Amino acid sequence: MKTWNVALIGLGSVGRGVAEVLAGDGRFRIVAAADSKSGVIDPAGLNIEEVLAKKKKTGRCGDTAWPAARIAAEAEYDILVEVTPTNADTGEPALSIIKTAIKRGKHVVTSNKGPVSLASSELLRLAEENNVGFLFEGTVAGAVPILRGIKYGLAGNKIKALYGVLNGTCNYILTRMEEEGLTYVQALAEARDLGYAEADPTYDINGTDAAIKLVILANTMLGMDVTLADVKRTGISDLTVDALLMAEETGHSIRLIATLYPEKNLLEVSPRLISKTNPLVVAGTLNAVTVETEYAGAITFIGRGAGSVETASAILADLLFITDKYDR
Amino acid sequence: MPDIISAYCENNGEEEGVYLSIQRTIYAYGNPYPFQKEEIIRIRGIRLQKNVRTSLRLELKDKPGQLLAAIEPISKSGANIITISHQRDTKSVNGALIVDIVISLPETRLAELMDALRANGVAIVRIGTEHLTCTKTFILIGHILHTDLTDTVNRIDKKNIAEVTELDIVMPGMEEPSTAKLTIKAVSEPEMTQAVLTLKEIAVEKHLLIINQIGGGL
Ligand SMILES: NC(=O)c1ccc[n+]([C@@H]2O[C@H](COP(=O)([O-])OP(=O)(O)OC[C@H]3O[C@@H](n4cnc5c(N)ncnc54)[C@H](OP(=O)(O)O)[C@@H]3O)[C@@H](O)[C@H]2O)c1
Repeated sequence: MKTWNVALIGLGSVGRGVAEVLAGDGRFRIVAAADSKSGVIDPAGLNIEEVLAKKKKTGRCGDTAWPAARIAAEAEYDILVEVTPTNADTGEPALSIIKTAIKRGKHVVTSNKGPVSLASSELLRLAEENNVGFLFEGTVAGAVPILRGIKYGLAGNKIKALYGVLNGTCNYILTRMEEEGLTYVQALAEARDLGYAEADPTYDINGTDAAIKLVILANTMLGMDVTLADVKRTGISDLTVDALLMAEETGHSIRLIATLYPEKNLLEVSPRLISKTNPLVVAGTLNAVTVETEYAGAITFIGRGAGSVETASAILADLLFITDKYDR
Repeated sequence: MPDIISAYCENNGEEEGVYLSIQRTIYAYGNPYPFQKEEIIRIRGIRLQKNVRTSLRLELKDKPGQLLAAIEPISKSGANIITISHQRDTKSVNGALIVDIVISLPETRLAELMDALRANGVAIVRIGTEHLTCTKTFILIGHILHTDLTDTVNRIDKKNIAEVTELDIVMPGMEEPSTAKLTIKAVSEPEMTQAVLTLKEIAVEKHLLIINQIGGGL
């Protein structure tokens, strides 16, 4: 059995999840790792526990002489796993790092929505030219295998519509407003305390995060060519408790739903009234996506849309897809 | 300054078009409460329901007093009787008298009226099917009362084509945004689409957030 050498760029929540998942898998060896300020390499395989311990103590995982960009360009590895923060405007620095790796003939797996939503067609073409894999299952709905489910599981089916809950933070807030009668402000504060919302949750609550995922689905799975600006967005911050109560009277919930109608070229993220019996009405931070297809009818995917090892699960599946398909 | 905790407003009878404006009488706890705009601190529920026309075919036993047994629960329910036709010569197979009545009352009170009629020994053999078969419910958030609710409703209403049949409003405070649930009924899909487009235009103009429904029940 071959061992595949992995360069891990980003050691945050997802990066540590990847390290944890790969530690128990003999098929992969992490030979390089980087955070925002430093990097570390060892062709024989890093002791990732030591690297993380050092990072915890000093704030750096390694040496400033080996920043992420240099690792991508110079280190020896087979697959680059890119898990740095999402930059929705430029995709950088991830975009450059990914291009560098692909041009060197290295496979790339990422959970970073920035580069994929901005440049998927360019990156996929580049990967094809260099005969490498470029996979990003973790960018949409975390652990839920929605991309592979559509591409392979539903291969040959025309997708008539796609709609779903793609932002766990909003879903959590709306669930709490509905269940406990909390105001939007109270529910957001609670989500922050529990770590479900970021310090600056703007992108989650104004619908941008879900819209970015919709763009990725549209461009990479449905053959569309759209950008974030094409997605009509309405967030959840103006929702009142009364609205949820009124919805409840008729057996409805209000959820932030992303909708995609490929034939009408219609992409939208907005709070919607939805029957409680609809499978998209999921609890807490879960994600759910219904795909309406030509032959298979409606299929709904439900699962964890975020989390450290959950997202790493999607990354592991991408890694194994690559090891299955390519010699090296 | 009284705090209206529970108030509902009704349209009266057959009046066309305009059926709620903030200056009108509000019925608090079921009693008329003529309020001034400045007096309202918060409103927990203004509910208005438009009267719908319903035709009923009733079978009465051919005995004296039976017509009264039918009329009495109808007038008690607050419904208006639009027409009543009582043909002495048309009788049902079992010899009962047939009376056709067209009434107008809020849809949600229909069930209650039917019970009352049955309790009086009146058989209901047919209920006029509603011609507005397409229903959609929306939630609106914003300054609904301050942006001329009457205008909002009138612009959507097209008599016998598409109408706002129910509106339920909660306003937590005079300067705070209200939340409303609004039901539109229309004869068919294209008319509904038109009504929804009008609603969307109004929402943009009056800065209201519209939450519309997705999917059926699945
Ligand atoms: N968390 C989830 O559940 C989840 C789910 C799906 C997708 N994602 C996506 O996955 C990516 C990673 O998420 P996360 O939650 O792990 O983020 P995170 O906890 O903020 O971690 C980001 C990591 O990237 C490093 N980094 C920042 N800038 C860098 C640079 N210029 N070069 C190299 N490394 C850099 C950070 O370094 P320092 O440690 O030095 O700050 C940190 O280690 C994001 O794009 C996110 O949108 C996350």
